[in-house]
Order: sequence, then structure tokens, then C-alpha cells
Amino acid sequence: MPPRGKGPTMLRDAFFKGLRDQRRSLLIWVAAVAVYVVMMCSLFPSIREGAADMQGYIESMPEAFRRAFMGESTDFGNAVTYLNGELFSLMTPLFVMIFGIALAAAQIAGEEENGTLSLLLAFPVSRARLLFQKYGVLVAGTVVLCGAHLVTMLLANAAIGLDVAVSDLVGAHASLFLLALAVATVAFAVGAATGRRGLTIAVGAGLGIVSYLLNVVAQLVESLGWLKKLSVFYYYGGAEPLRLGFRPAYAAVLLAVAAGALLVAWLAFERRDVRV
Amino acid sequence: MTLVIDTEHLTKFYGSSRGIVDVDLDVEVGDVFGFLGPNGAGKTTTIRILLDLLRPSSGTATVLGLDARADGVSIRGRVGYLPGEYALYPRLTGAETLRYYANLRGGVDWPYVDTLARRLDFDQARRAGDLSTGNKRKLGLIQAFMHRPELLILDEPTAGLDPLVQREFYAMVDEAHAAGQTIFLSSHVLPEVQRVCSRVGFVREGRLVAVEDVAALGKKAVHHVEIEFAGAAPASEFETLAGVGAVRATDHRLGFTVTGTLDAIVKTAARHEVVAMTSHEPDLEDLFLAYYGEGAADAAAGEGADDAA
Repeated sequence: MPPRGKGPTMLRDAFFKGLRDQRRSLLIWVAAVAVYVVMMCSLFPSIREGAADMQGYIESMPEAFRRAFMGESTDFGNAVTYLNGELFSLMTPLFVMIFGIALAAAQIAGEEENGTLSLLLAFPVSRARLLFQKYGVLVAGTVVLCGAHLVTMLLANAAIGLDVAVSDLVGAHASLFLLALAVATVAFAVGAATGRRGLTIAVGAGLGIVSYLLNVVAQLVESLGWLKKLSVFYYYGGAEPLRLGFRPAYAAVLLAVAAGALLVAWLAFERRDVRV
Repeated sequence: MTLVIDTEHLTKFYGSSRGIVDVDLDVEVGDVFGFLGPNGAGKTTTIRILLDLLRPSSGTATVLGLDARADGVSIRGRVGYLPGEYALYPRLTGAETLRYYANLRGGVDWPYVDTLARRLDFDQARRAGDLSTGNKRKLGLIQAFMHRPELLILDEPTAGLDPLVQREFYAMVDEAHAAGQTIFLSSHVLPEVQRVCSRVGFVREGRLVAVEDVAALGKKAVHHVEIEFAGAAPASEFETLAGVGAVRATDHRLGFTVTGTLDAIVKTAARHEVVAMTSHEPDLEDLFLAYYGEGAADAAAGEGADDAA
């Protein structure tokens, strides 16, 4: 068949078509994350100079409060503490979760609400196949964004001399990816089961926010410590994934959440009516 | 004869609201079957069950001898489907959209896609987001026909098409029929069904109320006839004719309804000097009236505006 139109190979199935749809958005996200990471990393040398003064101030904060938002270490002269505090404790997971939820909402729910799903399912493609190809787009997008974050950080680490172990950076990013994947897959399942974009975003965002708050509250109130176990944020490493490194058992929990949600997505999508 | 579409007691409820009830549909190989009914009667619901987009509440649906639910993928490989309502990807051009659909289908003869596009005068270079309703419909028709399917399921195929394209579409249906393809199309316009179909099924309030040969329709159909005479209207001569009813006479004009053929009234009118004569095609409501009496037609006319789906 002679190629015709732009990028015919990207139109070979729903997975490649999905990636094609996301190329612009993905590029913008990658650029934004890279700029943010470079900016935060390049601030570190000047922070390090004033770290000794800051440590006193940080240590004057209530300990539970400090732990909840910053973790164990109070030494901002240490790049690991700094990066945990500035990036990994909130902003970075926030970015990748927003990205993952938006991408999840654009898959089954997006096609259904736009009205393109009816025709898509008129071709000899099973629902399971479509679902897994759509999920592939979600996984690939999340890998790319987390990968871009990692690569930028590795480059910044070498260029600025942050002296963070490469294995710790890789481990924290693996946790980051699994956190985003778990939250995004739950959102994806809502989309596959209901076809509602708004609900998909609401549930995904709700899971992210509630998880973050549960983890914080569990640190602040000793008697509620058990609550953290209900939070995907806890399994990600809470406020200090870079110090904690990659922990297989915790990672397995996040993976299990994603796998369970994917199973639900599949079963629900197989069984239900597709709206016009 | 082998049945291409065979449903038994097919029933679909949306919660407690009625979709279709007990639809027994038989479409044979080579049929051009018109699925006729007002909006909201359940046409789209039936079609979407055949395509496995909806799952029936009860009853069974078989397409090309395969179970609609279990063998959906094989069925859809051999069926061309035009949904009643659908959206396209606004940023893809017509050519890209068709290429994507051809890839999902596999084994599509691309020169034939170009041929179809030329026939329907469809500009493949434009972005789907810029297409008019009629042009979106054309793209839908091209993708439905592009693999020369054994069975074409077309939900309101001519909605939004201009008359010239409509005529080209009728020609495509005739050719598909000549080539041995089976066509199942829904419509709420009787003349369209009469023009292209060999058999017609009437749907009303979710039920398939009758299936007729189109050739037999005229015999039962009700025509509205109006004749203007040069002299006084000879009302009494018409009132006594078989099949004539609702006679209204003003001094030169005579209006009435005729059930069946127009032969007797034409011959009677010929005995007088006729200035003008009009006969209106029976519409859907009239046809329901002929088949099911007053109550049925009222119910059909009073149906909701949207096909429940």
C-alpha cells in the first residue's frame, strides 16, 4: 500500500494512533518537567550555602509536622534531602499524577464522550484488544514522562555535582512511575467502566489527594498512624522516596493496585453497553 | 434460504425504559431490508445489538450464522457498519481517518477506497474537524463499503446527504445488491425504503409490528388525492367507489383518500374535464393507519424525538 497522508505507520492500530494523538501534549509535558527539574537542581548550590542557618529553623518546627512533609533528614545541605523536599515529596508526584489521570481520561472515556468509540468498535477489533492497546498508550506516556524526569535529573546530577547515587535516582523514579501508574490505572478503570471523562478525572484526582492527605495525617497524629497503609503515597515513599530508595515489597503494592484496576477495567468494559 | 440476520425475542431495556421488545427479525441472503419506523422506535437499539455495542436484556441475535455476542470480532470483519451518530477525529484528514479504519480492518483494497471517495465526491484532503454533516456521512459510507462486506448495516444512511449524493448512494446500494451483498438499512422515510428495499420491517414502540414485501406495500397504501374539475365536483360518483373515503367537496374541487390502487378513480375522473390532479405519496403515519388503524398511527406519530440508545 502506498503511504498516504501524514504518518500512516502511526495509524496502524489504536496504540500507535493513541501515541500520535498525545505527541504534542507529551512534548509540552516533557519540556515543562525538564525545565522544572533543571531549575530546582540549579538552585541547590546556593541553598547548600545557607543550609546550616536553615537547619536550625527546620529543627525548630514540630517534629511530626517536619516528618510529614520532609521526612527524617533536616539537612538541606544534603542533595537527597533537598530533592526530596523540593521535588519528590509533592511537586513531582503531583505533575506525573495529573499527567497520568489526564491521559487515562483521554482513552476509553475520551473516545466514548467524543463519539468516536462507536465506529472504532465497528471494526474487527475485540474490546479486550482495544482496551489493552489504549492502556499501552497510558503506560508508554507515563514511562516517557518519568523517564524524561529521570534523564534530566541524571544530567543535572552530573553537571551540578549533586552527588546523589545514580541507583537512588533510578530507584526513586521507579517508585514515582509506579505511583503514577497505580493512580492513572484506577482512573483508567473508571473510564473503561463508565465511559465518563469527568468521573474518571474526579476519581483519579480524589485518589491522589486523599492518598497524600492520609499519609500526612498518619504522620501528624500518632493514633492514626495505620492510615498511611491505605495510601498509595506511603508505598511510593511518602516525603522521601530518594532516601528510602526502591523497596520491592512497597513497589509490589503499587503494582498490585494497578493490576487490580486493570482487571476491573477489562471485566467492566467487556460487559457493558457502549453509548452512542 | 440462509438467514443473514436472525433475532429471536430480542429485548433490550435501559433500566426500566423500553428499548426493544421481543423483536424477531429474519433477513435473508441478498435482501435489501428496510427497517422503518419513527425516531425512538428502537431501530438504533436493534442495530447496536447486532454490532455487539449493546448487550440484549434477553433473546438472541445471530449475524451471518454467528452469535452476535460471542463472535463479534468475526462478524464485524464481514460487516460494514454505518452508525446513526458518530464523531470523527477532528485533527485527522479524511484520508488519514480512512487509512486508520482500513488498518483496523485489514485487507482493504485502497484503490477501491479512492473510487468510493470519487463517487461520493468526497475530498479526502480536508480535516475531519472541518467537514459538514453531509461530508462526515460520506466518510462513514466509504468506510462501511470499503471492504465489500457480505452484509451492510446502515443506520439512517441518507440523513444529511444532499439529493445528488443520495442518488449516488442508492446506486451503490443497487450495485451491492446486484453483487449479492445483503443490505440492512434503517430509515424513517418511506419513499427511501420503497426506492431501494425489497422488504420492509415496521418498528413501532420497540416492537417489530410487520414485515412486508415492498412490492405489496402499494396495495395497502393510502393515497391522498385531490382533483380540480372544470365543472362542478361530481362527489357522488366517487363516494361509492371501493377504497375511497373521507370525501370533501368544494364547488370545483374534490379531495379524498384512496386505499389500494388509483385505477378506479382515474377512470371515473376521466369522464369529466379535469383541470388538475394531485396524489400524495402515503407517508409513514398513513401506512400505519392502513395497517393498524387509528390508534396505532397516533401512537407512532406521538413517539419521542430520539432513538433511545
